[in-house]
Amino acid sequence: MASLSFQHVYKKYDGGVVAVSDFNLEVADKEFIILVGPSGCGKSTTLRMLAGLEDISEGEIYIEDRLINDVLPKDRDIAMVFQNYALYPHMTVRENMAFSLKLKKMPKDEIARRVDEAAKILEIEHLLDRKPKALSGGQRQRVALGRAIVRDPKVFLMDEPLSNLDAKLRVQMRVEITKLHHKLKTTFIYVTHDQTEAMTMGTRIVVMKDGFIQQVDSPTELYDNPKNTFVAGFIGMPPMNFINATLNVEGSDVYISFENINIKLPERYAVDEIMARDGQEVIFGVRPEAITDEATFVSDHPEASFAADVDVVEMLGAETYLYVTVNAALPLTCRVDPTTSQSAVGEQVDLAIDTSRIHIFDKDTEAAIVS
Amino acid sequence: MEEIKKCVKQAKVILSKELGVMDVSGLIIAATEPELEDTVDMSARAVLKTADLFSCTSDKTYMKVIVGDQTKYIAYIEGTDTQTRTYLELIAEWIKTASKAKGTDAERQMFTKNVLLENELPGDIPLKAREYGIECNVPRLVLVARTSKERGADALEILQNFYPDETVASIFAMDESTTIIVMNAKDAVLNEDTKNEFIRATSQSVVDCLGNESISVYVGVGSFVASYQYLAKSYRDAMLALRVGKVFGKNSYVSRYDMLGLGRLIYQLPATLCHMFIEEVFPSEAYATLDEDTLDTIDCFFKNNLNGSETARELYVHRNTLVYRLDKVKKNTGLDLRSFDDAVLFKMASMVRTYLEYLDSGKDGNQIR
Repeated sequence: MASLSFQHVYKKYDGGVVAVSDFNLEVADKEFIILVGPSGCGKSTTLRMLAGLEDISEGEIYIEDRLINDVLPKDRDIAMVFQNYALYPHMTVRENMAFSLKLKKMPKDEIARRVDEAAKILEIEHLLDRKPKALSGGQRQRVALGRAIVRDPKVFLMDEPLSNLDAKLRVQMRVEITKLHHKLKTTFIYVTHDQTEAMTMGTRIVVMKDGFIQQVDSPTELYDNPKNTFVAGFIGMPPMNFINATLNVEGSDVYISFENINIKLPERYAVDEIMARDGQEVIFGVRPEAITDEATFVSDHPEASFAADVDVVEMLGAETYLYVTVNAALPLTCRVDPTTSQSAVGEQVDLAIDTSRIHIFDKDTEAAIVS
Repeated sequence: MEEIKKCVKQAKVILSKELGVMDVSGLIIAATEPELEDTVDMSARAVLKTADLFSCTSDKTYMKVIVGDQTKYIAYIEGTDTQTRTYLELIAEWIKTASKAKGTDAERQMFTKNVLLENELPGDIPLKAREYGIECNVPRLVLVARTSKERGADALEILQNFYPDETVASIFAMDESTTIIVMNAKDAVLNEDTKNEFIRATSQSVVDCLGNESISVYVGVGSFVASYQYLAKSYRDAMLALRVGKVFGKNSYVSRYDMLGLGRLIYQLPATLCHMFIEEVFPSEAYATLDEDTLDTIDCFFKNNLNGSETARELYVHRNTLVYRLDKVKKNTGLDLRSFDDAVLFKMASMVRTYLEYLDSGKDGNQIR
């Protein structure tokens, strides 16, 4: 159990490449932090700096109150789990879990106690005498987690540990790891490029791009109030619709216009930041679920409705995705309720935007003006 | 050593008695009680002084293990009765056999080392390989794993456990920080895709396997060779990949010889020639006038094969911003990166510059904490 502190951490390589820039983060004890972002954004490098597998170019990293910049990796009291299980094939599960403790020359009875305890937590007691080739993918992943647990580390680091598993197993293991975090009550730092994993597992998410932190927030905050178009587009599937639009102010009313459509914004948008942008271009962000074809909603909100041509309908069971085009120019994705949606391919459909759930971003900086 | 430890462990399971083996200085090298390992048994001197094969204390029996005409080890066991003495005799025989087997392993490793270092005559290699039970005409790939000196022994032990089957991979230490992995690549050389996947999976496994034990590693990957005779080439390539990769590879723990590209060429150029080239391409330190944003832009522009729209999209900048930055590069360096020839020249010159910086820094490219 430990808190972590990253203070102005940089990773610079010879030749001037900066992989991580001014990384600042305070992680509370027992938190489950997710580092998420596209490949090359610096998330794994950050994790490796914390683990000591990578030197820190600038800045300081603390575990509890101990500065660990110059502490050897093996002395940092950290355990890491990778995508690759890297199990020893000729050893049993028990021997695999005990191996790192044997390297540390820990007494046998203590090793046995720790292995039994970890096996109990992971519910793999019945597998202890099997060899890795006799295990399924999920079971191997559990053994890899077990190897980390036996070390009794202050911090668990996981670098895309579920990427090797098939989709179904990944969902199952996601739940298992979340449960494990509750059981162990230890700090977890988890790296993934999968936003679903990030949203479902973490207490807080750090979104990274090009070595910079874009936003640190809870999953709900990230989804509802993204700070810029990158975060807005990265979090959520299907991604948020981005529309080049213009703000128009008429008296105390604010309109957003695109493709000859004028949408009246609710009163809460009549604020200085918006009013000052009369006539200016902005990026209008709408999540797919904020666009609906439900007849009652459309008729109740004429100020936010428009027509579109349906190109594709994807029925997923619990929800339906409509891929539509507005005025033969603007493609949009909508997530609608399959029990009420009547939309069919090739037809024109009336849609309405739920203006209480929209986002407006600055065209140049791409930062949120008002969410 | 491992074989002796194994004997001791198995003997304990069979006999349910505490026992161990020490060297002639009394240092216990294997014991059923792990806390005794690496400690010194003071009785060793007395045991060696007597002419008898067996010696006893109040609770232990000692026996000299003689290999050839020399006492190599002293074995001991709990108890002093005649049955215990018989057990000890059997254990001593077991240890002798194990040591002999270990010798063969060591010799095989020494032979492989000599092949890698080109200390064997090419004509002798297939004959000797047969003697050591090594299949000669099997495709192989050499990987070099470089760790810190402090963790080199651990890395060796971990990798030997990760690849326990000699027919899959042969693992041994070249020096205290370098572990050599000679992979059997029989199933990998079907086509380019299988080769790529084999290299990717193997090198990533090595990095992750050592990372699991908090060991930082750089891996150099050589080229596939068709026979044991050419193993030295794969090793040379792997070492070169490791060195060149550290100069140009930046954010990478794995350097592949087949992907070194221009770096391989530049690494072999003399420094004076590099200085002359830089002076011609970037006169008056023109490169130094480019700021970080511009350099990132150039990097991304090259990665996207000089595609402006794609670069602008990836950098989240307007196309005009990109054009402005490229114009700035042209103004400062005289090179228009939209032209293929200029782009090639810039790329080469910036790599030569990186190489010179590496030479000036005087760093050992393979230093690892």
